[in-house]
Amino acid sequence: MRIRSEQALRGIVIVVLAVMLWQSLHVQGDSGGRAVSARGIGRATLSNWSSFSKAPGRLHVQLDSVPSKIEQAWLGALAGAGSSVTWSGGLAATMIDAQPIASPTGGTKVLVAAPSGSSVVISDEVGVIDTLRPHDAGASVTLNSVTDRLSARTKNSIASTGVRDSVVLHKILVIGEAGWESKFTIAALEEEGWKVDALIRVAPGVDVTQGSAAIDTSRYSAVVALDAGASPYANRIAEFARNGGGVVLGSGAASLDAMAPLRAGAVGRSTSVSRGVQSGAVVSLATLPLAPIASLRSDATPFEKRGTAIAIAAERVGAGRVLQIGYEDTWRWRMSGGDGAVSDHRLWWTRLASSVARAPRIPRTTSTMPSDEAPMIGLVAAVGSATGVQPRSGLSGNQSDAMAWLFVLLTLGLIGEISSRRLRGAS
Amino acid sequence: MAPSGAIVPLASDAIFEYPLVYLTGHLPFRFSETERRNVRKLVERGGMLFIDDHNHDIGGVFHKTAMEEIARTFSPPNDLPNDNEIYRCFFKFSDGPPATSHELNGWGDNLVHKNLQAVMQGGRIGVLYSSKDYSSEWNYSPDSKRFSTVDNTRFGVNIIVYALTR
Repeated sequence: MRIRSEQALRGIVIVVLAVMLWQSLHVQGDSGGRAVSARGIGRATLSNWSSFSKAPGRLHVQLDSVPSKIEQAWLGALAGAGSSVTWSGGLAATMIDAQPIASPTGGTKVLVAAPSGSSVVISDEVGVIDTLRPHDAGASVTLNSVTDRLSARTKNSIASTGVRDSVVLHKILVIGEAGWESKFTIAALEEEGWKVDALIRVAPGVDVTQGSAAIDTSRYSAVVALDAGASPYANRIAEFARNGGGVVLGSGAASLDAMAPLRAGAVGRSTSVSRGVQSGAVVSLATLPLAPIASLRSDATPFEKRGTAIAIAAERVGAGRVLQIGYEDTWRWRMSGGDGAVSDHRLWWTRLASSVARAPRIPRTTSTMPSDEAPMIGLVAAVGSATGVQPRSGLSGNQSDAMAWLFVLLTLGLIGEISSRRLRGAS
Repeated sequence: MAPSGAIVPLASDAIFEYPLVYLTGHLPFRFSETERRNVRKLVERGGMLFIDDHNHDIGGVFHKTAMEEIARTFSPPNDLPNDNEIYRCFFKFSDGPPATSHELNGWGDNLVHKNLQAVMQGGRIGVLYSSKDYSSEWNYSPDSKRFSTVDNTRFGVNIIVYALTR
């Protein structure tokens, strides 16, 4: 009985060895239906996978960084050849875009999308410029000067883009009654580099003009209509907006019946005049009088609020953009504000103008370098989104498990057979 | 803006409610440090200071002290060219600043001043100085001006329009 058991164990060992030999020979001879995985990919790995006579049934890669475009295309080709290609890894989806700013001082607005809280390093060809931490998956930075190529780097992804366009800017036309608001609005825009024409009404029927009175998009990028002084020009301003021009409407102008087609909303009752100066407090944007924008039109967008009141709203009119502001007497901010009030007031007005200004783009001939604004898009397009599957080196999970169990069986069989013979004194 | 004017202490922060400041007198004056700081800030932020010598006398104490204060606060004023925009922004004064009867009568310094003086700030007039004593004549009765070739009150309109639009 004991000898028969030993013979049975010997038989099991031989069968197991035969199965393992067959399996190893079978795999080498035919890769079809096989599942392979790897940590990271390279040209050599891809080349090896591509050299099988039959495409592997399943390919899985654990990625530490976003593959290059060639590697992404290669994975896509493997998927197209019949393999089920999956990937996993904590890659940060990163995107970068660079837009020229419609402002006389130029500049570039860099928009970045990346996981919230991640650290995104913005660089150009000269070196590192800034580090951003996106909130709600987005962040932006305004740069005065950059080279042709910008990149956004997270820990395992690099997105790059070229600064492709410049913009054509025309003058700004300011229309209003003679007063400090029109004077200091013009001053703020001119000091920021805008070329400004003005139509200032100093008496009924008497305008002090600076520049041309023809309101069209060949002359002006934007019109700033401050108050009732814009009333005689309302129809022309509306036509200007429909043709693609930008319009900034002060509350005084927005309340005119003739400006109804351009209004983002009704002009609410103005808060009392700022008492900042009288009380000795520094005047700021937050303490300026405000005529809140009420009953917002359905196609308008609130841009800025003070508490629950809408302070700035925007809407499209024809091909142009209109920005309605509720702040009043902004000149008080400049005159009675803190140390930076003059530049703050200047920047505020130029940003309003920039946000609506008609600025046709001109392609820059210098930007011929390749870019990859959103490198993850190519990977997802080629092989789909990440899966949660963890990689296993060598053979697939099922094959590896079977081999392990066979090895255990082989070992137990040998130990049992040898132990039995030793215990009964046989050699 | 106070259409009828407002009298505001230069040392007060309320001065910044009035970007056009009109200063006149015939006695010597000195800015305090606060006044100097306020006047400089007012002009730097886009306001305009108009000083009119009530003595119409360049040898007078008002003129001498005013010039010193302007130089100390900004820089010495220069003659304003008579083709400056202030002479055509509303009424047209092709020969520059209109004369006053005080000048023509030979009172004060016995001079007809051909130019006003100014300190320019960013391409516009920041401080305008007059030795003509406009302020004495601007409040004359219209009947008293009927023999004038040019009613120099019109130049006052130009100063206001310039300050409001430039």
